[in-house]
Amino acid sequence: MEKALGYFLMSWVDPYLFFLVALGTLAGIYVGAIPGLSVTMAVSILISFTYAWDTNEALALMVGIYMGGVYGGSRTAILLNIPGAPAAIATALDGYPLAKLGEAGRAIGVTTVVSFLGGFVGILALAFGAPLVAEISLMFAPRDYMLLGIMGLLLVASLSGESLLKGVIAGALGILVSMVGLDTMSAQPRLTFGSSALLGGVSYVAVMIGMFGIAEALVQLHTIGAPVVKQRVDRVVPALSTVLRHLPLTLRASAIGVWIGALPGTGGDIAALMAYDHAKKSVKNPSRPFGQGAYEGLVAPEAANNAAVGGAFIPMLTLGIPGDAVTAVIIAALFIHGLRPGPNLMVDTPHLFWFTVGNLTLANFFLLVFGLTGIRLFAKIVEVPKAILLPIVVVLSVVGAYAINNSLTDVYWAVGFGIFGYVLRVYGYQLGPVVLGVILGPIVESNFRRTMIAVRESWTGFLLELVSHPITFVLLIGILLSVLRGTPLWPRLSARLPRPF
Amino acid sequence: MTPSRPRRPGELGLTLLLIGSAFLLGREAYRISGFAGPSSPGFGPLAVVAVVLGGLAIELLRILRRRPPEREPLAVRVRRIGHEILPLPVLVAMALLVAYVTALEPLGFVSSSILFLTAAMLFLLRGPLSRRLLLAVPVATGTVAAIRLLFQELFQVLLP
Amino acid sequence: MMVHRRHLLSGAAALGALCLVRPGAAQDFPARPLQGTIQWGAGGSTDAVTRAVAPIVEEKLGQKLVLTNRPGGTGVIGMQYVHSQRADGYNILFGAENPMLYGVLGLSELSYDDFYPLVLLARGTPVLVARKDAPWADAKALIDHVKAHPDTVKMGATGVGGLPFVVHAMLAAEVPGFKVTQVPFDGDGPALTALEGGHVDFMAAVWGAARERIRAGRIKALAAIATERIEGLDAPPITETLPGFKKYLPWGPFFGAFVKKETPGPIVEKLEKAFVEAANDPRFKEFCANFGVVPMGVSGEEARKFMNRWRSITAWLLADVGAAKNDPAKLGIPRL
Repeated sequence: MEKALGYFLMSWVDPYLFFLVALGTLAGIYVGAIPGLSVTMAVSILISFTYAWDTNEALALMVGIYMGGVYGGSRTAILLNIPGAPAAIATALDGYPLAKLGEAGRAIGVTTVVSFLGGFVGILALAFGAPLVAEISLMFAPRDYMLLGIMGLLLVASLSGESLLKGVIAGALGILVSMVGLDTMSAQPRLTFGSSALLGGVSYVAVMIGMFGIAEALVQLHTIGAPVVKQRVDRVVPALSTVLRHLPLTLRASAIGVWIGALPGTGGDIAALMAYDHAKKSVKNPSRPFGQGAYEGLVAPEAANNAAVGGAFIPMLTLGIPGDAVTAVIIAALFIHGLRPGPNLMVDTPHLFWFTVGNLTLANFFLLVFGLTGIRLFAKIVEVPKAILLPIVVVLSVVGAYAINNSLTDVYWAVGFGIFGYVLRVYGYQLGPVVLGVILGPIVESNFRRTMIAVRESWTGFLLELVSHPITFVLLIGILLSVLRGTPLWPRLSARLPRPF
Repeated sequence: MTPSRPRRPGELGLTLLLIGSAFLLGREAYRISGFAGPSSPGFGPLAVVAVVLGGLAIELLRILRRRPPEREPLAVRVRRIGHEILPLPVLVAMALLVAYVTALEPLGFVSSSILFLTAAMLFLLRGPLSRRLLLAVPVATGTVAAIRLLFQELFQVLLP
Repeated sequence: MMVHRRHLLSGAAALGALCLVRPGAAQDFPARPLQGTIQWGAGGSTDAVTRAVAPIVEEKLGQKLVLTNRPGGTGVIGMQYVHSQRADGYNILFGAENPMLYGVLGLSELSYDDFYPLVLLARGTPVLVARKDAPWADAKALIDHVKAHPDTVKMGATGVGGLPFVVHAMLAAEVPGFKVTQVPFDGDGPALTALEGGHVDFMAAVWGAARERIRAGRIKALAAIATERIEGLDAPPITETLPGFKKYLPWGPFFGAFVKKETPGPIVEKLEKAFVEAANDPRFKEFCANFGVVPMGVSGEEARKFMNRWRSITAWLLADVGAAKNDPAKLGIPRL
């Protein structure tokens, strides 16, 4: 235990490591905030950059960037409606309406505090529950990932706006977009119309940038003459009472985040979406209706995606299995630094676990500090006249799309989806479901196929699979209940049933 | 959602266009592996296209039940579309955007972005031309310089 | 960057630029940072091998090597990108074995035939692994079980043309009646995770990816797909059970660095020297040992011979199990 504490405090007492974590967190916030620059990319670049460094130093920097980056995505989501990273998509849904109401400062403040709390829950789970959570996460079979994806897709119902039908159409279009490209299972090109440029598929970040950034900018031109909203920048740091009021939701969302983050096939983006869905279903009296600036709609995804950071480290540090894309790159970095990530990592390099926990904790505190400073300045971005802001948003979107893969193709996609998204928006189709479909479609489809292959294409076998495993069965019941709740049948049913909770 | 709401201009056209594209996608999806088993690569795309087509068919019925737009002079109609669907600023912005993206490769990122930003701001800002120029040119140059520094120098993204 | 793109677009100027390589160009090379394109995403094996060798190459060339991941279409996207750039030696492709199969799988007209191998950095050795509670202690037990219960055993895979797929094709060719259900995952990492969770029964994976899990007893090794024992692996080579495997081996994924075939000779020489030196550097060899891959460090004709042999074996295996879209014979791939 004493040893553990020593490892935990390594970065707290060593000024250089302390500085690296701080620098990483600060850099991470900006990497996360700029669409197209991703934490995965930043950490990859750092591999070469830190080649000759000591492993601990490299790790300190990477962990800081990771923690800051996941949080940073919320900045642009709130201020400009462009999620800086996919994990912030759900944040934009209520964050941007808040900015339009003149509460960008408060929104950022609340986001920062719940991100900190969520991050903290994730770290606690990592520190004290890692081996157990890791073993449970391995029990998730393809069929369970499929059901998780379907659960996420149900969110379409709450993102559809005026017409559920249009939401379903939009979500299905998104899934179709995700299917474009080479199907690695069969080595067959799909929906490419014979073009080899489409073999790589359409990057979902490009779709996200187009649909949120460019389409939003075009829609905003409708009201180009309207006066800008004055931002209230007093009390940007949320009062304790506010935090306490949201605490139960923060904790529930964090639990979702840890769990989704710890699953090897899913990361913060999906965690945030599922937490948003959970908030929408569980909060009876939000501060405002969801989608129109409910603080609950900010709290849930932001707590979840930062909790997912600690979650993603759980399988990585205990089993050498990456919990998401960033931890996959960190694993590669460890190999290059001569370590052997795997189930024996904690045996071979005993300091690594508590050292990482210590770095995460430190980064989490820096996140709070850096996040809460400069809010007033950032909130002013929304007050920049649209005539200046919107063109800049477009240029940022274009650069961001280019940066995903250094390719103009992604720029063309972003612009194409921007214009298409504008048309859809004008005719009452919401764009959230499209992006949801692009992100979740592959999880549902590939895992459905895996399950089907495993039961040798028998539908009876498939249904049997769904009811004969405990985890699967629970997920299935969850989905059925969730669907039932949305139908007119539910009020009558629930009136007859005794209330369990 | 009430059926009595009159049709919006272009509503029918968009739905028909989407249906047409969905059929094209359906044909492309069928070409992957035909109607094979549920784990075949073509199954998912075909199933999703079916959902899209089903949804669009219902949407089409809903639109057809709505009151068709009243006959009105072309000029009025164009103005109405302009107001509701494609206001002039949007149309110009789209044109600028397309021009910008096409110019990215031949002109390079820096010049095309400065041109786009300046043009877009000149068009969107109000006031005398000299004042607009005085604002647009420095802001455009500054933004592009900052972006280039950040992306190319720090993040090693080789901009076109 | 910007300047040469402009040249490329103005047709005639582009031709001129390509033909007239100034005599001084080779001596000055490299005068600006090189651009490396990785065919696979961040965090994968190709990515790790590339990022391990890149700093050493920078040292040898005295110039920066900026790396970019351009994943997609099992590497087609990255290869197409490098091929669309000028053959001036500034654009380097870092790839794995997959392009050797683009032809038979009908994915692209391009292949490594359009590139010059600066160096083959390393190759991996596949091992046959099973979930830890599987009732088989060795490859023979597995084979007997599969023969007795056709189609019921689940094999983890990574899709058509992937390593488990090819190893399966070898097994199917050597063992009549070897019928299993292949469940494809998004890569060997996710497939191994599924194996660890018991969602599939066995699979073939590259030694470096499976090693730590075997060492911790979370999965068990049945055989090495090699002719000799692997250091650190407590399982016999497959050739002890199935001597017929000798004709395929050594076989496994490989990683290399390539430039366009049209790159001027003196520049290629300079690059080749730097890359071969880097690949034979003790630091890179140490990484290889740690990563569980075999360092190669060969280039030019020797590399070409290795790759062609690899293609002959693999393409024909795919053709024999009916997974090839194009007949290897028609593509001029000889059968060994």
